[in-house]
Amino acid sequence: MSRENTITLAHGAGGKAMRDLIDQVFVEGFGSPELAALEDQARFDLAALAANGDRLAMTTDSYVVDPLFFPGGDIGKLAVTGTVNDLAVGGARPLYLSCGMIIEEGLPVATLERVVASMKATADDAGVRIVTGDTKVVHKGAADKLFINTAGVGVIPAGIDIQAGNARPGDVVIVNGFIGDHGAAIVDARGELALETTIETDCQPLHGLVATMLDTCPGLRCLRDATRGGLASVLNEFAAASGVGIRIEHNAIPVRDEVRGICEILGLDPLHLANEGKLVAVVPAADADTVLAAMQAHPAGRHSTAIGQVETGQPGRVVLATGFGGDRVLDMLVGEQLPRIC
Amino acid sequence: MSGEDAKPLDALYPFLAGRPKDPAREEAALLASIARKAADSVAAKQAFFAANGEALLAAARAVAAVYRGGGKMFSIGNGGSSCDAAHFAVEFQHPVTAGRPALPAHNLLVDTAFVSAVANDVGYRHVYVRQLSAHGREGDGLIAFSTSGNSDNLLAAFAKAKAMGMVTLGLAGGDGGEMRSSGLVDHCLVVESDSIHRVQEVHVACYHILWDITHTLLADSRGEIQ
Amino acid sequence: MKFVDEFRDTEKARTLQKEIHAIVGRLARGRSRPLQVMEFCGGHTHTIFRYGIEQMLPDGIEMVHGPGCPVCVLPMGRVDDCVALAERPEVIFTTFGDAMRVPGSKKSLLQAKADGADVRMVYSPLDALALARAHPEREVIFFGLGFETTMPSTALTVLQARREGIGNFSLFCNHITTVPTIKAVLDSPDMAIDGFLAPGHVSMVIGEAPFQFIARDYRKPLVITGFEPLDILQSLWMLLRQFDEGHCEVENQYRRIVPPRGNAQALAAIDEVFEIREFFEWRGLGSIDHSGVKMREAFADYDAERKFTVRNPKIADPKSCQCGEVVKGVIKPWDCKIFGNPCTPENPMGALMVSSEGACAAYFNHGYGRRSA
Repeated sequence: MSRENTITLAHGAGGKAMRDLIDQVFVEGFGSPELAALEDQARFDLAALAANGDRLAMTTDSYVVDPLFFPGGDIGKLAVTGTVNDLAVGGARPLYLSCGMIIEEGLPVATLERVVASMKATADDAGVRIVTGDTKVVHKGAADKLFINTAGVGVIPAGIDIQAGNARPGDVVIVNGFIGDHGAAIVDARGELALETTIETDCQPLHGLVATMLDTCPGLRCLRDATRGGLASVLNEFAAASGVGIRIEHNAIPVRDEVRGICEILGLDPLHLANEGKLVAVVPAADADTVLAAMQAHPAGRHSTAIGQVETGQPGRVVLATGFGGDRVLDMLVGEQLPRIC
Repeated sequence: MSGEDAKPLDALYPFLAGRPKDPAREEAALLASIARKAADSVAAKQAFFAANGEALLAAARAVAAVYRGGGKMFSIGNGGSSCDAAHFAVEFQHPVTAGRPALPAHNLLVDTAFVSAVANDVGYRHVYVRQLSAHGREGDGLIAFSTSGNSDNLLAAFAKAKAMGMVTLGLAGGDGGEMRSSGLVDHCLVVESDSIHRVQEVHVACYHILWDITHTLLADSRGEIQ
Repeated sequence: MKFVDEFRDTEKARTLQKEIHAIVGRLARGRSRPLQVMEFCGGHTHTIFRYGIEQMLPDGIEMVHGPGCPVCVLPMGRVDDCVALAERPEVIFTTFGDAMRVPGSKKSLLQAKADGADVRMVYSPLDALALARAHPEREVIFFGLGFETTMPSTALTVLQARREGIGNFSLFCNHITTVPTIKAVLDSPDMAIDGFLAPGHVSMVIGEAPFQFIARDYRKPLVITGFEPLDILQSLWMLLRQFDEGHCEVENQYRRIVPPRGNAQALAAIDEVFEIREFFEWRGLGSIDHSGVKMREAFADYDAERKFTVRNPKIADPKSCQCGEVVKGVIKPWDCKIFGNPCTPENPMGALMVSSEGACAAYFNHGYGRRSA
């Protein structure tokens, strides 16, 4: 079997070249028994699944980040973490992932192998397996280097009911750490501004942290990860779904100095930047202290902090106390965040 | 402001610079500006008449037909264009050439009591519509002047005029706006310029010539020039 | 963070707030309507909303948000010109980010990009010049936008291009000036402004002198202001003190950045490359004399308006648009008949809703549009 250096259209054609690619890169790289079986589908024993919970959770996400590699992570790590986290914030234990790849012809095979290795390492860390996949190759220019889609399934234990519509006045809003790292890291990695410090992504799996939180507080109301659209989007989603108002203290939101710095220079708002290892939780006031303590004791939640509370104000409105004396309404992003000129 | 570093600031903000330091240069610049604007005006007219000779002739035929049938013309416009509407009406009622008959043409902005009443009670959009209802008849003609082609009260008047069986004419600017696109104006002549001043200058020449040709058509009782 | 946190100190803010309340209380006794202060610059508008400063002020003083947002006042016709240039296959059209969302009569630059035009966001004109160097087979056009603040960098980039003999770079110049525009606002018969917060970064280039006529001839006090919330509060306090003590002069609160005489090199670069246009169209305000600049004849090779045919169509705002009145302080944004419905940041019908710094967009995004009162 010959090894080629770059991906060509032949690798997506379904013939021998594609079979070799799957064997050498994916089956070898992902190392799961299901993939090694080389069937068209992965199969799971239903009774075994049902032993762990009473609902199946399923999610999917596509990853098109540019550049592919950035400080602290890469597209592969994102692809696994993002899907794991989408399951985790529903209270599910993530189990199995699929991986669909759309590859632009000309991508070096070494790059693909690097991404696959990262996905395997991340999956191992998170205790999940990549069990089925698909490969397509498109003409130069029809995709930007590499696009990945992952779907994931997990099982939700009985008695867990987390919904965006559960928030009640008096509940406390908590985040598990610094906001805006991932979005700022990507802007920094695009190299348009030569900054002194490097900003790293916060990409990390959250299901362990979520399990700890649910142990301490089975009545946890709402939980979401703050990916595209940032913290502001999640808060607005909770407020709208629950028909409540939310009031946040601007000075309570943890933001790293470097992230603040790049945002000040470019006219970006950290509250609208993407995060890949941060969740926003709404918990009953009585449980807030214990949940926070449990989170801070967990490696994924060292800088957890309460940032505000749910109130009876205008339903669906999120108000930010600026810390300077006045308030302002925190809205969802309209269009793309475009830096201001002068 | 004075001094060496004042020169860029003076150039950037001429109104702050005070009296011109070189009166002769100022004078020359102003004269050049006059010549340039005059040339622009001439060019605008030439371009318009080169493109719209036949359309203007068709418009004059329509106006002649109105008068031959015993009808009258109404003229409307807003702002500077209302001055053109007034001028058009005077031109037809008070001919500058001896021997040409005075013809009925009414500028509908004249009755300020009426206009203020309608504008106040109903809305400015209706100030011409109501007058047409009161004074217009089938076979009359309506001409409107507009540099944008988009004035609400003119478009409303056109709709009313068409419903009453009147012929409609329009002189517009820019790209003709809704006057051109609405289909309500039987003869729509557009000066394709974005400068309000240039458009109005062409409009004046246009209705002067329109008046002239209309009288030529009316005076000739032979069948050939109808 | 240095140069940022000191100017957001809440203790100092509260002190200034108390002083402002005290002075306004004194002044209100002799007045029948609130004091109206205009902050001209979009950057100031942004800070005011970001920190909820208007809520900290007493009822006797109101902020009027001026037209100092170069993106907001960009006429739709100019956007159409940009789109036409961008759609040329040989062109790489470069622009600041904010300008990409401004709608033209058919589409914005962002939509043109989605439709296949090569539109790229840059942070400075030097980025555009770098693109021209890297792609000698393409024509790179830089959309020069902004007030006197951004003129120097554009001018210096053109000079650099000429020094290097780069032939595939040109500027589509839409730079406008603040000073004649403030004068136009002051000359409007229905304007009701009592004092001004002058744009800090413009002043950094032009200095204090060009604003003197406002105090001297129009008898309105003016304070050159910085962009942090404490700067705004301190400037308001300085203005109020002038009212209280019966002064009328130009004061410089932003002394840490603004030199009294401005920046000579920046001004020299502007003077070398640009000259005044007789008039320039401002969306919402109409035509203002001498309020824009164009490139001098000597730089014709770098002038996109000469290199390419630019139609410059005049596209009127919808009739229901009342941006002009809002900008002059005659009505408040929420008094406009179409504010919030149908005019919103997602569907802007006029200048002040287009950019996040426009007064209407700022009010809408911070919840005023949805207030029941």
